[in-house]
Amino acid sequence: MKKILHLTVFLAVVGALSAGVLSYVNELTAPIIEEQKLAAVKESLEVLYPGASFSELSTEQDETGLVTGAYLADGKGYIYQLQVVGYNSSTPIDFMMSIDLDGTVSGYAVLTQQETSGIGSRVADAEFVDKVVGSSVNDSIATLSGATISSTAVINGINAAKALYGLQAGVEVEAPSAPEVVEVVYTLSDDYSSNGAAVVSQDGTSFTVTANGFPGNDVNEFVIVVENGAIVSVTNTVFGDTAGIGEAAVSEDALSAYAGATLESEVDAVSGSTFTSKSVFAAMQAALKAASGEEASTDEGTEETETTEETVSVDGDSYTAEAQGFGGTVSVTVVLNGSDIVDVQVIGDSETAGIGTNAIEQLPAKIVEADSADVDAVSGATVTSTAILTAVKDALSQAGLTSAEGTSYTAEAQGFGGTVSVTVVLNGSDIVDVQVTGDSETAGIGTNAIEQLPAKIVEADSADVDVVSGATVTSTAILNAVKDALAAAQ
Amino acid sequence: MNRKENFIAGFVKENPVFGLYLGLCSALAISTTLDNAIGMGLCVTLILTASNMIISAIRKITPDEIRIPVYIVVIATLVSAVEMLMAAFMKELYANLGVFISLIVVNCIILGRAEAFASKNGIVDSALDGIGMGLGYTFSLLLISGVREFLATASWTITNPFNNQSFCTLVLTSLNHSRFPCSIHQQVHF
Repeated sequence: MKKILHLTVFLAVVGALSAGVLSYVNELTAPIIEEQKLAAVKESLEVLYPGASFSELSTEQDETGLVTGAYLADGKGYIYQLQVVGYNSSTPIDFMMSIDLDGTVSGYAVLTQQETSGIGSRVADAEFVDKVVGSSVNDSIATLSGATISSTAVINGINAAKALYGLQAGVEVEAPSAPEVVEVVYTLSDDYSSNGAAVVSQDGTSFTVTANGFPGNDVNEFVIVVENGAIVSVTNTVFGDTAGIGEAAVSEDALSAYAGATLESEVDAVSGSTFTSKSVFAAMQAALKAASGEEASTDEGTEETETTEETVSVDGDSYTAEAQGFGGTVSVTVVLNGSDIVDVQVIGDSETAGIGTNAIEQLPAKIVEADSADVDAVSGATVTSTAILTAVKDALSQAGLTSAEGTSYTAEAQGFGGTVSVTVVLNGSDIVDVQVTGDSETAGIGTNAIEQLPAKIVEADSADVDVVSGATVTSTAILNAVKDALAAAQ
Repeated sequence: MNRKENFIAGFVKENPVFGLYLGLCSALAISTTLDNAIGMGLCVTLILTASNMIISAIRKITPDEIRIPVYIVVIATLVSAVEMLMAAFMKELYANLGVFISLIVVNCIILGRAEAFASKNGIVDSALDGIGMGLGYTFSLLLISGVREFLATASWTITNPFNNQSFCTLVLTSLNHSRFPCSIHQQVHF
C-alpha cells in the first residue's frame, strides 16, 4: 500500500512539475506565436485599414469553406481572407477584402493568382477592383466577360465573405444570388483580326475557314455555308481550343443559333467560352466576306494563316515578336505610332508567377515611358525581362526601327558551318547592340554562342569575353567579326 | 578516456541510426533536405542531452516500477517546450519539420538512451552521451539527406533556420556539349 502511494505521488509530482514548466514556456511563447501568425497577414491588413488594431475572428460560421481568415479591425470594419479556385485548378486565387462597419466593401486585393495572364488575371485588375470596391454588401457583382470562370470563382468568394460579415457584424445581408453573367453583344462586323480567321478552301457556297480561339491554342476549323449574304449553317470540323471549356461554343445548339446571321447581325457569345465563340464569329465573318467577294480571295487568306503561324505577325501599326522566356515562349506585341512606342503587350503564360510575371507587369510601362527597349531588367526576373526586351527589339526592327540609337557596323567571319555575320551597334564607343546571323552553325552547339555571346559582349562593352564552352569555333568567329566591326568603326 | 570513448561511440560504432538502428522512422521521414536534417538533428540533440541530464539527475529517486512513464513525461515535456520555442523563434523550420517534432517524444533514441545510459550514469556522462548520440544522429541524417537532396534537386542548399536566408548553394550544372559533362558551381551568400 505504502509502495503504491509512493509511486502515485512520485508520478503526480513529476507530472505537476512538467505541467508547470510547460505552462511557463507556453506563457512565454504564445503571444509571440500569435503575433507571428498575425504578422504574416498584418502587412496586407494594414493596407486595408491603416493604423487599426486587429484581432483574429473565427471562420467557423462560413459554410462555403472559401474564407480562410477573418479579422476585425477595431472600430473600422472586417477583413476577410479568401481562397477560391478559378481556371487554374493547381493554384488557387488568394485575395482579401474589407467590409466597413456600414456594409460598404472598402477594399479588395488579390494576393496571389496564376490565372491566365491577360484573361483570368483580370480579376486582379483595376476594372474589376473598381466594380467590387465601393459596392454594398447587398449588391451583386457581375462577372467579367471573357473571364467568366475566374471571375465567377472570385465573386463566389466575395459572396461567402459577405455572408460571414452578416453573421459576424449582426446585420442582415441579402442572400447573394449567383454571379450575374454579363452578355456582351457581338456584331459580325466587329474587328476579329486577332483571331486570324482565314478561308482555306471554297466549294460552291460552302467555305472552310480556320480561326484561332483562345490565344495559344490550336486553330478551330469550320465549314460554313453561306447563301445570299447570310449564314445557312456552321459546322465545327476541327476543334483546337481548350477541351471542356471552349466546346460549349461549338456545340450544335450554339452553332445552329447563328443560322441566318448576316454581316450586320448581332450574335451572342456562349458564356464561359467567349474566346471560342469569338473564333466562330471571326470564321463567320471571313466566310461572309469571302462570299460577298468583298475581301480577299482564298490565296490571300491562306497567306494570312501562314503569317500567324510564323512567330512574327505585323498588323497595322502593331508588331509582334516572340522570345524564349524562363518557362516558355514570351510573346510581345508593340504598338507604334510613327516611332513612338504607344503600347506594349506581353503574353507569357509559362512565366513563374510572382517572379517572371513581375517583369510582364512592370516592363511594358517602362518601355512605353522610355520609348525604347533600353530599360533595366526587373530585378529577380532577369530571364523573363531579357526575353521581353529581346522580343521588343525584334518587333522594333520589324518596324524598321532599331531600338539602340547609334551607328551600326557589319562584319563577317568564317564560323563552323559557314559565314557568320555580325552587326554591331555603337553609340560613341559603347557597344549598344550586337546581332549575329549564322544560319549554317550547328543547332544546339554553335547556336549557343549566337544566343549567348551578344549579351556578354554588350555587357562587357568589348569583344574580350570568354568563348562559349563547346562552341569555340563559332564563338571565335563572332568575336573576330565584332573586332573587325569595331576596327571599322575607328 | 572512458568519457571520450563514450562520446565518440555515438558517431561510429554506436551511431544511433547506422549502428543501433534507432530512430529509423524519423530518419527516413525527415532526411529529404539538408536543412530539415540539420534542424531535426539539432532538435534531437538538444532534447536528448536535456532529457539524459534530467533523467540521470533523478535516477536515484525514481522508483524502478514507474521509470518508463516518468521518462516519457520528462521527454514529452521537453519536446513540447522545444516545439513551442521553435514555433515562436524558428517559424520556417517548424513549418518544415511539422509533426516530426511532436514525434520526437516517441523517438526510440531518446527513450533508448534514457533507459540504457542515463538511468545508470552520472549527469556529466549522460550529457556527453546525449551530445554524442545527438550529433551521431545528426551526422547520419546529413549523410542520407545529402544523397537524397542531391538526387532530387542536383544541388545542395543550406539555409539559416532563423531567417530562412540561404547560406550557401552548390549547384551541379551541365554545360551543353562541353568536353566535361558537368561541373560544380558554387554560390556562397552571407
